Amino acid sequence: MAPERAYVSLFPNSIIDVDLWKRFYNDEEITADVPPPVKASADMATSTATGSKSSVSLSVSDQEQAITYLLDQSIESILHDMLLDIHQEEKIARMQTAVVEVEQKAEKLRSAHDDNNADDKPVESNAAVLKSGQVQLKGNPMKNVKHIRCPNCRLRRLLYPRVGFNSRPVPDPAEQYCKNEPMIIMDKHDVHGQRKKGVKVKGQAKGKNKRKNDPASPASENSDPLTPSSSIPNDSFEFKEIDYPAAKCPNRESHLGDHWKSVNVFATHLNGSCYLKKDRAAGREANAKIGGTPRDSRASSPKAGTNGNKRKADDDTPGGNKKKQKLGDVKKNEKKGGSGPSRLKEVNNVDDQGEDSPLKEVNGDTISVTPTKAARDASMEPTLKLKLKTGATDGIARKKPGKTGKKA
Amino acid sequence: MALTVSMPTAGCEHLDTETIEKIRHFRQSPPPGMDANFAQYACLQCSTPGSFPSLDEHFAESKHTFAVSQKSVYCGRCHDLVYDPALLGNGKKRKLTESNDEDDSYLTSNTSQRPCGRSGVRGLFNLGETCYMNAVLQMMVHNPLLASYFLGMGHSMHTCPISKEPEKKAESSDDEDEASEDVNGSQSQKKEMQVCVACGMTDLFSDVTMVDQPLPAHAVNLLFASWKNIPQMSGKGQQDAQEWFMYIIDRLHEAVAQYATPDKTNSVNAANGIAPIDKQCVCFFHKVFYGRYHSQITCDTCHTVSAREDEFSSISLDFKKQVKRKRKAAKDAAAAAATSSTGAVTTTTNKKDADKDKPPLKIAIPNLHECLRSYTAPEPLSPEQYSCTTCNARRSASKQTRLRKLPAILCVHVKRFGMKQLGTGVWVPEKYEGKLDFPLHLDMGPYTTKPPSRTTTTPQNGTARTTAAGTSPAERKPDAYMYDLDCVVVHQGDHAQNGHYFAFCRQDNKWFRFDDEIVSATTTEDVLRQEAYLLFYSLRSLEQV
Repeated sequence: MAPERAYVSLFPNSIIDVDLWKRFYNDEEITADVPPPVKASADMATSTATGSKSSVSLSVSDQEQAITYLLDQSIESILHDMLLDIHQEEKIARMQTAVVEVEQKAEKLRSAHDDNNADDKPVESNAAVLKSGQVQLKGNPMKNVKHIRCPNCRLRRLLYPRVGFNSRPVPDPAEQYCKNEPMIIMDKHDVHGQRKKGVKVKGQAKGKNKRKNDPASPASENSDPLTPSSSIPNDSFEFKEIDYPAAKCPNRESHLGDHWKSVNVFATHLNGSCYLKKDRAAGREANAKIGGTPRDSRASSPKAGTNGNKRKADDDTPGGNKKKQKLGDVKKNEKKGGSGPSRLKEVNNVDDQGEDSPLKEVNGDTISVTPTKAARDASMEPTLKLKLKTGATDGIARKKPGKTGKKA
Repeated sequence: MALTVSMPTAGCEHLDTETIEKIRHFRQSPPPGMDANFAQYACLQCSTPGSFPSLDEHFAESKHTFAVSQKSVYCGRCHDLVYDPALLGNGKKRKLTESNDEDDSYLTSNTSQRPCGRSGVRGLFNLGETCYMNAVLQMMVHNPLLASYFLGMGHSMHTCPISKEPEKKAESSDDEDEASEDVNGSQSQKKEMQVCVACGMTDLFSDVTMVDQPLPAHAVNLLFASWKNIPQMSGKGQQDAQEWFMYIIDRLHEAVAQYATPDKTNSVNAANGIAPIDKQCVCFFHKVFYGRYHSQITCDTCHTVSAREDEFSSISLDFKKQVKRKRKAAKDAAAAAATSSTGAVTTTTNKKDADKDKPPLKIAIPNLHECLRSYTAPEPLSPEQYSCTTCNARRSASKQTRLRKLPAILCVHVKRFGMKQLGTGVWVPEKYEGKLDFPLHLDMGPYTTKPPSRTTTTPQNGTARTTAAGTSPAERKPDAYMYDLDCVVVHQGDHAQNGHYFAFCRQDNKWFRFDDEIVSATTTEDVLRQEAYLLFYSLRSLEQV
């Protein structure tokens, strides 16, 4: 196969090369554009594959030799490449540290002397020389650089994670370290040592409590056999839970101003009341559509509260889902920030309905099937019976008999 | 870039520019007996090969100083490998950024220092069954090319004509000089789309790359943009990651679409009698994600070839067929060989393990190369399926699909979801479980329309590491079709209808598992052990751009 790629840690992925895409975009060659096939080349693939085997014959010992050579070289190369990667990473980090340290020293000198022509003088640390802006290494950084420093923030790097797999105590707790710490490897925890909200970790929760109660009990934390020395840093490490933050809803059309929702329910939010309107109100609306009733049919109907009885008679025609829809309307109005009075009225309506609702339902059952006077007359008897059975309020009980009496 | 690379001028105090030139020359034309594929060191001056101790002796005698291999330089006076900045970065890299030192200093003096932190390991919140999106997004976020695009003003939210109200469009066209050419191209974009997915991406990328805080990021804006632009996938619910990937790429392309006259690229096709594609987009996303395949149907009777080319954003491999074939082959092999094949590898977690002939359970795991080979192999068409225009009759034919153009980011889709007919005749969705071996490095050369000029054939029977000793590197660019694994998306769950997606992404050659909020470090072996659903490979030659 083609050679393995050599990874170079000089330019880690995390440092974004902002012009890469432009170079890529302008590069005519880069997409692996393959020459189109020669006509009727379908059988070419099969013919060449078999035809061109080399006809060199090897003796058995030759073959053995060849095999040994190839195996030896391959294994050696694989090991070499693995070691090289690690050595390279380490040495480059140290080379950078040498540069950082000598630059720091130069800065210190410069600020101490406070003169500008200090630039010309070579500054020398024990690993590098800074001369006219150029840094030259001195000796082998693997030997003369003690601690690795981050070339970005110039703080010392932690070499082992604070907790979890392969953790070591922090060498000097008083010192500030580069924030780019080694990844924490721990079950149910992410690389930062956080865990998902709601995820309970048995052993650790205990450890946490213990830590709170008496911080000087490192023996109990030694449960992990892989990390014998992890007990000390564990004491100072705080395992956080990832909390769901709130995010601003991008769908500005559905609500005035900014709308903040916890991120874990965002799909529900967009799906429901906000964007797709697939919530419970949607069902009601769809129902209303099928029923042919406009959503704001109430606008044309007489306002509630003037005469409870009369209103009921009017109201009952659309059927039982009236109340639910009403509630939906109220919500809508509230969201739109409706003016004071109208809102009040709506609220009143709801209250009214709430009080009368048992009655209304009973009425609805009976009267909704009698839209015209004639029909109502026809179905008079059962109405009456029902009324009496349920023990309706006086007003209705009185009125209905009166009505019927008149008719009869 | 000055602040990121504080490197000494040379790898060690003994190296000078003259030596570096020599090393370069040495590597280009290695002495005979040195194999580029192996780690072998030879003295720079006299080409004496040897190990480090023997080289040390040689240096002590001859006063030579350096030994060179293809990848590294050994300094005899340091008694150590040395790494010179000039030899590490490939010469072309970062030319653009280094050329304008003035800008650089201006930037460094005017921007705050980039904070340190664990980089590239931010999780993404699950917004409510959005793991399909998070898995794909992690792939994108960790791709240096896409990161460069979205963070390098490839698509600026402030000048995007789609997110703006239509009446503000005139204003945005004033900023054209700042914006990239892509934005110019999208000026002709229809106005009805109010939310731009590319803006959502830009937003996410800038959010995710903030390294200083360990809390996960969220893709709320992108989710909304995705719902708005992909109505068929909107709504809370579990979705297919591959489907979403295809759609989101399509929408990204629509956001910056740029059509060019097709004659430039298709002149070769015309010569070959391939109908030109009437409209060809040359936008950035096309170049990154879309490849073209070339399918030709050859009539068995008159051998007329009819060919056509189509775009693809992912290669879908028939996993089930391959598993069946493997199982059959294994059975045949078991039947042929005596039952005493004790060294048989009994791996795989195939649920149909319950095949009755249990003893020689040597079910080999299908690998990616086999799948790709069967994808590009000629497949017979029955007369019912094809009617030849030359013969004017229904003929049997053979159809072959090969890759004509490969994208920079190649998505390989392992078809794990299908339909199964129950005894009652009802079709129910089904998930095919089981492993598929995939390589870390993938050479797509054999599956392209490129005439197979090499003497070595495609890797045989799963041994992907067959040495290409027979190929001379001068014959072709060795890395031309070489891909490296970037991301593996895994679907977890027994059912096709539900489950959980998570992704494995590579960050600086280290692998991490991105499971919504939780990012954990993992090993290459663990990644290769996964039952992959989507595999994302990126073109190696990108590194040389």
